[in-house]
Amino acid sequence: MTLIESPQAAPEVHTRTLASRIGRRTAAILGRYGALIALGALVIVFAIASPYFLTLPNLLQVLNQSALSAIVAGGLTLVLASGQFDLSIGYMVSLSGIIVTILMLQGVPIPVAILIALLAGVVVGIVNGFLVTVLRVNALVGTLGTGSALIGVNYFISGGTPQPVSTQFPEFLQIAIGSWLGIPKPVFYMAGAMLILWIVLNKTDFGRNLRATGGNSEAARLAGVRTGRVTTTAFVVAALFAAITGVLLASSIGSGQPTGGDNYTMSSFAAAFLGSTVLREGQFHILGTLVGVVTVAVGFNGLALVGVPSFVQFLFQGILLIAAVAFSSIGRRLSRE
Amino acid sequence: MTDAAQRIPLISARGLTKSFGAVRALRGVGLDILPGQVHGLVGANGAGKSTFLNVLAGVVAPDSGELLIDGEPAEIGSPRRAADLGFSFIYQELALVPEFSAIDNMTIGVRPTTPLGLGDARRRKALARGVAERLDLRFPLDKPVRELSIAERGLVAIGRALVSDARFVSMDEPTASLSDVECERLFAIVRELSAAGVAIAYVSHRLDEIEELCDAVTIFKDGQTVASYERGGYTRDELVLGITGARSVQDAIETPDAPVRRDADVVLSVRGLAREPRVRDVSFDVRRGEILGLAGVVGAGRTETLRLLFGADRPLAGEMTLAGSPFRPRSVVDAIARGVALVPEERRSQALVMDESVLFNTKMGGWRAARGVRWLPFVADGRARAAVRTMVERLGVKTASIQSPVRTLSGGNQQKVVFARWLSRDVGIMLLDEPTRGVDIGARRQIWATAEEFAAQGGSVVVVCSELEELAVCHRVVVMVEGRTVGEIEGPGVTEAQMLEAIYTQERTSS
Repeated sequence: MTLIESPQAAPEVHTRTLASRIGRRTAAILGRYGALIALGALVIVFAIASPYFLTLPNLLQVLNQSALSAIVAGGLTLVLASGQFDLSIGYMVSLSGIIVTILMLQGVPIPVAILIALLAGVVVGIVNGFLVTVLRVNALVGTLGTGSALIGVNYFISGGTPQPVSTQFPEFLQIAIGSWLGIPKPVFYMAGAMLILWIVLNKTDFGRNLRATGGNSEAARLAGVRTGRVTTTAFVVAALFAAITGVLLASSIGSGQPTGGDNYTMSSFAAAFLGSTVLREGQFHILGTLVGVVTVAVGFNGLALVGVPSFVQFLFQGILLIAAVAFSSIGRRLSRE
Repeated sequence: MTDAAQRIPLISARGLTKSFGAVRALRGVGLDILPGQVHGLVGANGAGKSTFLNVLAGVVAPDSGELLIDGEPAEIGSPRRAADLGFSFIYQELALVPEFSAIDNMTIGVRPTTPLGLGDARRRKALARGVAERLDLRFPLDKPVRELSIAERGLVAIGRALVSDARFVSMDEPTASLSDVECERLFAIVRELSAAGVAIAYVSHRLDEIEELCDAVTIFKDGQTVASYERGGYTRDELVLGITGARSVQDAIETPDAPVRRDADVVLSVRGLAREPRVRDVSFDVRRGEILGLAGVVGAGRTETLRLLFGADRPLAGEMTLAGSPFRPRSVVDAIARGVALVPEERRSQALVMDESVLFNTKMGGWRAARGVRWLPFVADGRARAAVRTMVERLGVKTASIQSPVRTLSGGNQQKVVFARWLSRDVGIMLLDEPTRGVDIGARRQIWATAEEFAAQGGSVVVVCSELEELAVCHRVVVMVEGRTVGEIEGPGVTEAQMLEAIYTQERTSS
């Protein structure tokens, strides 16, 4: 037996390594807590810049502004957690608002009108799920298509004009306007929606199957998860929550607006992706989405209080989103390397 | 030896260390790889072989230590630099672009000779064709590689290394998905490369191959190189001892003493099963308590047969009977409901969610059964955790906690998680597809023991395993050639030679 060698060198620590290790640790922390740190920093900056910012009425106002976005983004979170996308939700919000107001103007009782609007959400969700899981259309393309179709339906039934209902149906406005215990009603709806979605995602077998499908759909399928059904259900929930938001939006502005909800697509994607960087590594989760929505709302509110023109708010949302996701992916890469 | 001593090593490593967080992946790696040398790297999963190769590939920067290339200190730093040095890497998880053809995949690293890369297509094609001839590739080179079998894709990956005129080629488990015939072809290629002066790092768990092919071998254990030997300078026992620390060959490779069970009930009966092109005419019976092996070369239709049994694909012809009643699974869920389970071929892509925990992966697909109250959708987490903990202990899964992501586990322990999933459900038949691929010797033994225990308790096992010698655990082996079952060998103690003879006499008559 010829032993060529058995080399054993004493490990030496380079100073360079130590420095890079500290950098790495910092990056990992920024990735994990970056969104929360950003939220904290915003609060501090605005608190200093505007004496009004940290008052109770203003904070309630921030939550109120978050409420509808949070409900849409919460529903979207389920679709994202299943590994899919839904670009049609904003248009669903608009359509649902139009449906409910037009039906009311046609003399349909308010509860029935609401029910039909929500049912429309369920139908759209089923269509999206069918496209993606049965016809296997790429979700981005498929939901872009349904989104466009929803705009078409919307304009067909509304004629592209707003449907004001505030004078005829003051009781409809009571759904979203006003407050209980001094807290705006939408905040309660948001809390309820978030709680339900959190339970669904974290405590039910459906939620686990959803995560499995999003994590590795082939492995999930071969383990016995009905991945098609799970994904379709996620699309239905997302569209349903978008429809709920549409009704609340119509109630809060007293009118069905043909394009009133379109912007929710972008803001809810931003919130969900921002939220995916909170605490967990790149996983979509409800609490994260909520933090994402609130962070954006705090930014908008604070910037408005400081008197910055509104275009800056959108710049802010974009930069915040990119920065958070970039930090998160850098942090993840470094912590894994 | 004198010859070797005169040559300057192409690669010389001294005291390399590397930590990932708290994990010390390399704790002192040193070895020399000479030009033209086939250098075997052996060791359990997680022993540091892959990390060492990643250092050479410029993917991982070592924390400390010295690396000499051609006798000069060198820092590789980036994959691009590694390519410039003429280093080529064939990974276990083949890094091919599925939509690209074999030609495009092979020439992906070829830099254009004209400013815009115009007119390069012909040169690429010529390069690829030349290599294909050397490798004796018999499949279309212009089809997307996703349409090729796994073995064929492996050959494409080797082709890429040849196209780049490498001075050093690293092969990580290159035979894992190859049949014996294809292995022989690969060995011929390796020898040819070696004769042309190319140095080769050859990672394998198959010690036969190491003994046959390698001019030198280095043993990795716990991130260190514990010994290097020259060809013929070691015994099998020494290798096994170096790798495992304690076990002897006899212990490391299972020794079955299984009685034949001719009298037991037939649980699953398959007649004339077909799904062209891979499965043409498959018939066999599986009895209660039996481990049945499916032997054959890659492309014989073994994996595809298991998929049909599991409802992952639907047969176009044939009948199946399960426990006396017709069995026509329309989906995986149907098959599972009838007590059929599959441990798939590709652990990472087909069996596990790598970022999720051991707990999550064990329960995956079975969360519905983990409800606290049957008609309420809520999971009883405490009970699920307790059940998984028991199962993890029973199978000896080595993990820091059941909450650790499975990505942090070694290959063998990941595979045990897949077994734990099925053993915690009501399963009568386990279909195992290459259950020991990429698994080190110690875990391999435990995996076979688990299968044996499952059969001993009245379950049935159908297993596909390209390492024919391991099919010795089977009570009976069915031989498949080109999508047909062509014969049976009664065990116990079916030998590799018996199976090879059955496979190759059939191949000769069928061609």
